[in-house]
Amino acid sequence: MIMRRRIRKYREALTGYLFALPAILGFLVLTLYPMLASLKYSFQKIDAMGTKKFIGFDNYRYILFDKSSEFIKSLQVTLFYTIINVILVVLYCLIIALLLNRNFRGRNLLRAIYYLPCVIPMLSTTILWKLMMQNQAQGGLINQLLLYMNKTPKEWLTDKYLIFVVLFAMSIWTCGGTIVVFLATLQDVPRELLEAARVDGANAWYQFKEITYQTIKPVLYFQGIMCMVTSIQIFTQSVALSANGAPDRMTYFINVMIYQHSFKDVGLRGLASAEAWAVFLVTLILTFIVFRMSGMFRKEEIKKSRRGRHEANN
Amino acid sequence: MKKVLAIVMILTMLVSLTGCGKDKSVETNSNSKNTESGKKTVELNFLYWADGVQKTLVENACKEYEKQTGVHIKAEALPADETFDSYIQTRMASNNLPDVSYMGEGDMMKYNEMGILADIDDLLSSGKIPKKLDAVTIKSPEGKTLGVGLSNQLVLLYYNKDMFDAAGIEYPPTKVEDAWTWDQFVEVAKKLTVDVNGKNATEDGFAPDKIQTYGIGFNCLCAFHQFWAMNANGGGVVSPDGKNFLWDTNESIEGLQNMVDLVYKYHVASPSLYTFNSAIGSVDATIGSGGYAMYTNGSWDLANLSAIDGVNVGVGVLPKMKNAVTMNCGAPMAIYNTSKHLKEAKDFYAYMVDPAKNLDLLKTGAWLPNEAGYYTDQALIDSWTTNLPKDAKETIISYSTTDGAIAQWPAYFVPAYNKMNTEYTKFIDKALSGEMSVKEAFDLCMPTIKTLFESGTVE
Repeated sequence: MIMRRRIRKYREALTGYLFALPAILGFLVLTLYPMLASLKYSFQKIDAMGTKKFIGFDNYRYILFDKSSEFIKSLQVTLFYTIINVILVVLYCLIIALLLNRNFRGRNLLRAIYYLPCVIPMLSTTILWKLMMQNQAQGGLINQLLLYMNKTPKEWLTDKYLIFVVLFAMSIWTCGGTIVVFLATLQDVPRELLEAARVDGANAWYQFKEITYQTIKPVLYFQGIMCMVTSIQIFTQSVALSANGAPDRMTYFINVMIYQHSFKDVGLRGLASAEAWAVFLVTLILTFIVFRMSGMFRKEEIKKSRRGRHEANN
Repeated sequence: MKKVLAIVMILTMLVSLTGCGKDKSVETNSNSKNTESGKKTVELNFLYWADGVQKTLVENACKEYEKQTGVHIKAEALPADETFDSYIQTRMASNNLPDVSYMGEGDMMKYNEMGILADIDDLLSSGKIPKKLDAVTIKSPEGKTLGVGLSNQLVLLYYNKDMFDAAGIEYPPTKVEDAWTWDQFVEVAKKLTVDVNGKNATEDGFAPDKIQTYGIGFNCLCAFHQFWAMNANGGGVVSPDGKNFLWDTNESIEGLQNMVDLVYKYHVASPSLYTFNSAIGSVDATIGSGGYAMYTNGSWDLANLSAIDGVNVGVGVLPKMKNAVTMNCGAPMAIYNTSKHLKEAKDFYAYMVDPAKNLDLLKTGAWLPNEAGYYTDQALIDSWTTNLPKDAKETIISYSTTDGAIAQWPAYFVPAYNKMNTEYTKFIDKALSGEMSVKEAFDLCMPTIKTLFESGTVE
């Protein structure tokens, strides 16, 4: 009897593993192996013919200390973009979601309108914005409008600071997905609490801070981390705009650089692997910091209710 | 039920695993193939990039060749972007190179250094391939002929005839020897640059920050689009024999500074950067839309002229500084010496680089002939120029028949070009954006670039 049950248990486990096998194999072959291989490559010099030579930490030394290495600058512009972008996107999405969560006519239409741009592929979005932001002589809409209002047109695409305005604008324009997630989370905010607070005379800000924010905090931080990761990986926009980080390498983001070294330049594949690992470590540390900064995956009210129970026990 | 499921799962796994293995049947590259009669025919693998018209032309040419010779051509068309070279590298890594392929201008030296390109000198010296233009013939530093460009793309000056008429200015010349001097050119550009109040750049009260129409636009200022200015000023990147480094000379610096001055000193041009992707668009989007009076771009833009409505576009030679020159590009074709049928590959090569195979592309101006005879022999000239505007035809022929009027893009003959260019890319936008002078930007990067040049190798 026990024997049989054990066999059945094994069988069940086996079936389970078999079901999971494709995913496990996929992870091993397509994720873990390439990662470990790239770790190995990062200590090698790989020439155009594919011959590999072990060179110790030379690649890492190059990216950190060599003066013709662009790693530091690339990391700087990437982090600059990331930090501002995360703050902008999360704040913007939160505000829009809060507004769209109110009751008014045409709410569903507006929700659809805010969501729509995010189904457009980033490449198309970039081309669209490029057409809008180019100079007035080429027919750039924004600049023509500025000229029409007798204002000075701006070189959005060739100025090394204004290019970020374009990047942020595109990022905000396409963040409909995050708005939807926030909207869904806002449905979880307990209405009776809000009502009770209102009855007690709490103002809108206090209601948001003490009730809404506490409920959506985990999702807020999770979206923040996701946004951080995708921002660090920014690639399409830069490549579609200039491919070489123009103007003046200000859009030479880390992934653009790794791609360039790995697939366009000759003999830098080992270096590209080292750069990828360096970025991996940086992302890891950043994520860790964000995790630690906030005990954010716990809902505040749970803590409270626990404390409540504790008190009750006393 | 569970059993069945498990079996299905295992089967699925097995099938997907075999998918990862190498499929032997695909490996037909440069192998002999059995025909129905059991006789062996030669099969050549030919890799090219193309879309639209070009693809049809190549396919037809291959079919025609099969009919004529019985050699089977396995032609593979790829998109015309940077994935092409990655694909060649993948094929090389799996020891499965094609016999003949197109190749990016900047990649010839790389593959030559790896020693996998065949010398085609015998094809040219035996006359199997008639004399090609020097500017499209690619020679290795050791003197091997590695290939010829399929087209002879030149940088040309396009202009809006209506704007010239309205301003009462004579059209740009179409003969190399008549090219405008730089001062003449700047003066014309000033007169054609108009601000929002209708004042041009020579008038008092001109508002340089509110320009409606620019006198001149550069499609972009990447690579040969700006190198022509250095050559025009008596400098260049590397001397034509590949021996002397000219990039850091005063002539080169001054040549490029002249171009940058058009943007920030004279305010007659819109800013341009060192990237092909941020190009300001085709002749249609620039001159056709009325935003630019003059515009420089490659001759491939001639194919777009017919699409322009309501604006008369003219074509002329670029202005000169010290020399009247243009610069060319045009992707070459290469033969791999790993081919098992080198002789047949060479015959096919000679057949494919014949301009007659691309006549439809030549007639639109999308490509220009790579063969010297097509610019001198009247019957051959007529075969491709009948549909081109008269001024375009004169300009092209003038450049192609004047000695030294086409400077060869250094990507063709300088092994270290790519890494020199990579280093250049890191700094040059500082000058092109007006942040510092060309001299200052060059001081930052030229010492390194010079050592890269002196290394004499691709890697």
